[in-house]
Amino acid sequence: MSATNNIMFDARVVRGNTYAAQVVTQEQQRQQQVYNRNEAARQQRMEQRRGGGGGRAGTPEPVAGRRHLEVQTETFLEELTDRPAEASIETQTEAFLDRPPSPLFVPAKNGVDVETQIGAGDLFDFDLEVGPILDVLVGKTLEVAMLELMEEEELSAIRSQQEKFEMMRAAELAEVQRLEYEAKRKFAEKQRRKKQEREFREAQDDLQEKVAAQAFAKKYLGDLHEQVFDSLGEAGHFYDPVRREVGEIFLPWLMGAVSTELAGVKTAYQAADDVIRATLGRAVEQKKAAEAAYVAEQQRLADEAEAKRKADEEAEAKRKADEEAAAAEDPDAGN
Amino acid sequence: MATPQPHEAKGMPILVQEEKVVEAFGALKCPKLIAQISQENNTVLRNNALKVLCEELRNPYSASGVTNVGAVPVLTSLTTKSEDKNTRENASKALAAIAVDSNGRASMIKEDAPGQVLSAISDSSPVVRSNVYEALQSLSCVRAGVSALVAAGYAPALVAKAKSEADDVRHQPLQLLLACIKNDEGLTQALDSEAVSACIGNLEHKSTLVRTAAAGCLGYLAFADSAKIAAIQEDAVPLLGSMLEDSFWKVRAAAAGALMSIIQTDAGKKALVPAGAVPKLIKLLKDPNDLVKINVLKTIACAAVHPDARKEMRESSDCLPVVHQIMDAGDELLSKHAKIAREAVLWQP
Repeated sequence: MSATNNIMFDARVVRGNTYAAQVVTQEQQRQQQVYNRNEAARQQRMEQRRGGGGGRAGTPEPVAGRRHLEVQTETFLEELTDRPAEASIETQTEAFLDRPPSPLFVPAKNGVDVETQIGAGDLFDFDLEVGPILDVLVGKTLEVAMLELMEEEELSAIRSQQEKFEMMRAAELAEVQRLEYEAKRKFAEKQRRKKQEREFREAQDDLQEKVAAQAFAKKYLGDLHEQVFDSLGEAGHFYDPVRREVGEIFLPWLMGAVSTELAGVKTAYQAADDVIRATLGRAVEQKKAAEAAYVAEQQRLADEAEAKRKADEEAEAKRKADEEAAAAEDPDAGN
Repeated sequence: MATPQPHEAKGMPILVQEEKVVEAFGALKCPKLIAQISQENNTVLRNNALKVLCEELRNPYSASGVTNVGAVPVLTSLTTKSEDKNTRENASKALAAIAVDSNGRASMIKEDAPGQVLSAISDSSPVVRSNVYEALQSLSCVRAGVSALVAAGYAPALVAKAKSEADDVRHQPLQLLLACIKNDEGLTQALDSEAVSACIGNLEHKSTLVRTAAAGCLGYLAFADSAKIAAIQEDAVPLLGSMLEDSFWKVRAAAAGALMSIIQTDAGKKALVPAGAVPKLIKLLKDPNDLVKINVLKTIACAAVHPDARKEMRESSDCLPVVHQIMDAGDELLSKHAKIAREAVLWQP
């Protein structure tokens, strides 16, 4: 590397057309070989320094009397010359020709070509290995298909069981309804018969009543003719006129006159009785009044006597009390 | 020293087609699928994702997974609101598939899917209608599902559909109606909507599935007294009598079941004898199918109350002997009802 580090003077920078084949001189080839050797040794040293003993062993030294040569082993051989073959060719583009389209850029290949080849039997035996996979796939498919079929069968069995249950239920329901209607019919029949019997009994009672009424009427009406005349006779519809006049006119007049006379006599007696009663009553009253006055006077006198006696007793008692009180105040006075 | 070698850089790898549905690994599988179904930009991708969903729903794990990430509201929305017919068909098919799973059913009930897809039963595409019926039919397997259907007002709508639906799918609204009327409220709504007339109108349909469904529905409706009266007034008994000779055993069983319910009343018994159904009932005692036999035995037990029918049964050489055979056959259920039928036939006033 130059001291100024100018790329113009750097041998590694390619000048000129980079599309043409590079001419490698013998000197450059030798330098390249030296470089490669040094590089390989450096890599080996680095690997050893890393501690790995995994580096590949280098090419052994040639046997005595032989010499190793560097040869090209690339896929595409090329002739290496100092000066390539030159030929002068002239060309001229047409002035009015359109610019052709730019060629497709194909980047240069880089990297290391590596190839490999898988021989027959290196990986696996397909016919052997595909067996378990197919078993799983087919088995799984069959299992799912069987499950679906079983599910359908189960659903079908459930449906048939439901239908059978419906059949039983409908039959039982019909039986219940039949018994209900039978009970209704029997009840209706019973009611009709009871009604019929009731009507028959009523008819029987009516008939008996009619017969009894007829017999009674016949018996009653048999003596009616004689009873009617007897009743009329008793009622007086068949009478004697003279007898009737005496009884209804004369006798009432006579009785009236007699009763008037007797009423006058009675009135006189009654007046006399009233006078006597009044006189006697007054006498009795006067007597009672005198007796009452006498009793009242006696009572007054008695009361006065009693009052005087009481006053005397009270005075005596007071005098005694005063004497006792005086005696109590002066006990020595009595001594 | 390296030499320039011509080579070219390889181009970018070819992207996966946008319409192709690629399964995501692990826990992202179901969310990705639902996200692809929910997007509105690419209809082809959505339809493909729906088809993949229909296949995935066969797996219970996947069914649970898509349910947890909210597949039901997306499917109900696509079934009713999408303008693309294929999308509606695929979405309804996926809805039918999700209704088969118990987690899917629970999610449908929770999200009120029946109420949201009610309008889909009037869709212009018969495939959509069929798939919706199928989904609701799966939902009706559980009691809560039936309650949800009744609460959403399906009973009157299905009665209307039973009269106007296309021939190839008419049996489905009838089957769904049969599920709805097992709820008391649903039965009331259906009777108020003249379900009896609708069922009687389908008894002579050319399709055996429709005839079976109509007779089955009529039989269940006729457990109500008002339905019995309505059926007798609309001459259902002769129609059902003629269906006792149908070639398909389910039709015969359903017709016998409907008669079993209708002739409980005296008017029904009186209508049965002139219709000539008694000999057909006696003949059906030899039917190989147990469902047919049990319905016929119950019908005979009901019809034997009528004196003429009882006389005809006693005089028939096929009635009592076959009943005795059924009693001794060994099937406990059939034997019990055969015994009841025998007692009814041999009853003396």
